[in-house]
Amino acid sequence: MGTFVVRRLLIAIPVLFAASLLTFFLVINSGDPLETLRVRPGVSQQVIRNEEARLGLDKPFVERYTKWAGSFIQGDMGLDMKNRPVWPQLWSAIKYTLRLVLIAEMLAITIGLMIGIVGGVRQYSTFDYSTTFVSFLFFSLPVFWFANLLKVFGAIRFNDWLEQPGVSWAFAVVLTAVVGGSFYLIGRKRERLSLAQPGAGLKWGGIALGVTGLVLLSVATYVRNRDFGRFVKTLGSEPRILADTFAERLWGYIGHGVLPVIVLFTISYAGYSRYMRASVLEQLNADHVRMARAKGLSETRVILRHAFRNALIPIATIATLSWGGLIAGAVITERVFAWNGMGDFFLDSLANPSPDPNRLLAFVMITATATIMFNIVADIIYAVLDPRIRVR
Amino acid sequence: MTTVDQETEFAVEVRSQWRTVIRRFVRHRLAMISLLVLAVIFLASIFGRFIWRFDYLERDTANLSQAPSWLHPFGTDSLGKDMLALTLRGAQRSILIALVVSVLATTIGVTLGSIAGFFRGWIDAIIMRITDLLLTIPLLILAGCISWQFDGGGSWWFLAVLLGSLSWQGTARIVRGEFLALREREFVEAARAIGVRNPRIIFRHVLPNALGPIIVSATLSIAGAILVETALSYLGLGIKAPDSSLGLLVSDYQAAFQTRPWLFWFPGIFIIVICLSVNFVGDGLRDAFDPKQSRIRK
Repeated sequence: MGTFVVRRLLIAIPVLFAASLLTFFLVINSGDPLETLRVRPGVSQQVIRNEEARLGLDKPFVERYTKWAGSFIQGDMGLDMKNRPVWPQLWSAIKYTLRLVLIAEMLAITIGLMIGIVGGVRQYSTFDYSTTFVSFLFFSLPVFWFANLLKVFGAIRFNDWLEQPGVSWAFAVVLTAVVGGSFYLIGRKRERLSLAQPGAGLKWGGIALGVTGLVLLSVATYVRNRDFGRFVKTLGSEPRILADTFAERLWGYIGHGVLPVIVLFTISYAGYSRYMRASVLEQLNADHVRMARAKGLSETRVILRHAFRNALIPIATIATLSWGGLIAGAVITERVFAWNGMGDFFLDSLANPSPDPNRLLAFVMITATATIMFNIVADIIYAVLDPRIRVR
Repeated sequence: MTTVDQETEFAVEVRSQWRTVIRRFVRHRLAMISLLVLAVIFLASIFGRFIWRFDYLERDTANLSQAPSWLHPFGTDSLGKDMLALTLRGAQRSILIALVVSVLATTIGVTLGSIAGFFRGWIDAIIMRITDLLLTIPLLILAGCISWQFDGGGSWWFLAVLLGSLSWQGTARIVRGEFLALREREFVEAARAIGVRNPRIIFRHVLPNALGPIIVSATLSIAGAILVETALSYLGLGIKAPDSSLGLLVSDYQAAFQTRPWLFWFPGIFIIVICLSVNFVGDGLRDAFDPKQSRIRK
């Protein structure tokens, strides 16, 4: 195991080196950062030469790259084109993005795995078909479009509703009818399969109808009696003025974070639920599960102890694969919701006003390192969980 | 075949592998519907401009910012441009780019993947390190770094070639895996024993057996390409102003969502419908190619 980690880390070094070289080459050759300065009237040649010297434009490619690489190895990411140190800016961006990505990812894993298990166990049921469709929908959702949609419906309209709460009678009737009706149908189906007492359909339907009505009523009165302000925010990564108490601060952070988290959740949820479903299906057909059933274990025990645990193993790989998609998703999400995270940092570095080599290199190196680390961790987890796999 | 027919009453229909695959695919209802939807959108985006009464550049100054009506089914923008024509034009660009990306990425991926998987050794090591390199940097980031410098002249085929040459890693890995497994099989060994040369083994014996996963990943990569292209265009790093793309349309009209929602809804729904159909077709193909996954449908 030790040699495996060391070997992988050693392989990572040339890959990171190549990544930095590629990025450096691309950025250096993308336009002249002094273009506007050169055409501005009244700027002396000396000023331009000084700027060239400061940005290293007068030196050849190799020299500029070795200078950057030399300081990077010593942990110095250098200055950006406006002479500000890169690392503090990047670090503050990383903190915002991590907050977003971690919460979204945890939600996606939890919900995705649960849905995946049920979908696998109840293959080709109505539940399975509808969750499969939702997963495919999320796979096909353009992030930028969905984020804008949420901005209007999740924030602006929702805040309007919080200010002027009210549930129309038609909506209340339709909602309670739909919930009650679907529980009635589920109950009837279980009756038919003799999984439930006769009359369960009516009982369940009635209870669901009542509960929905009560919930609606209490939510409506609660919202009416409380002042939320305009709770869900569409712009910014945190409240501009920090509140005094912890609870109020948390509330502010939630208001800013809820929509971006939802967007990032949709990006990785679909992957988890689909792979978990496939993985559970594979386990349920495996010999050890048949053995467990033959022993006469209860179905719950078979699924949770024998199928679920083993089905989790391949998910370790999916978690690392979704990382690239999350970074790309974060770039778009942060642009739409004006978060000061890594996505914002990246887009700023691209057009600032021309690509900023040190900033972009720092960004690429951090994301690339994270990707490689995730991959190594996934391989280790895989090997630890599955004794059949030997890491070399 | 005929002798069997004559000798017994139980006619056994002999099907080639392709016939079986097509049969399984045709039975996949959702995939067939999706294929139909895709065909309609594709044809409309290519030939629609010859039939539809408005051109995407034409301004109907009598109907500015019109909600969807019989004359303009998707409404018009503040300049009086017909939204249906604009959306079809954007869809045409996005689909063409996605097709080029898919073909290019599949070609590169299959070539490199089969070389790596067949010859193994140091060639394999080099190719896999290049894949690792491209996998460490998210496609959106890499493409953004490059396409940034081509403003103004951001032509669609440049973007397509760029995305295609950067997104072959997945296919290469799949093909390599298939080759590693297939090259050890008996029929390959037999071919080698009777003196068949390497190129013939690759093209006649191994590649046809790896076609299923290749076709599936090529199909699914179309959906991925559309999402990446529209995202880049949305961020201003892809298709630029005089030209059009579904992502650019969303970006152009996102501010109008509150006042003229139809400008926002239609391009986005087009992206979803196209990607969803492609994904369903890919799913159907996967079921059709993989007998292990064949299922009894009610």
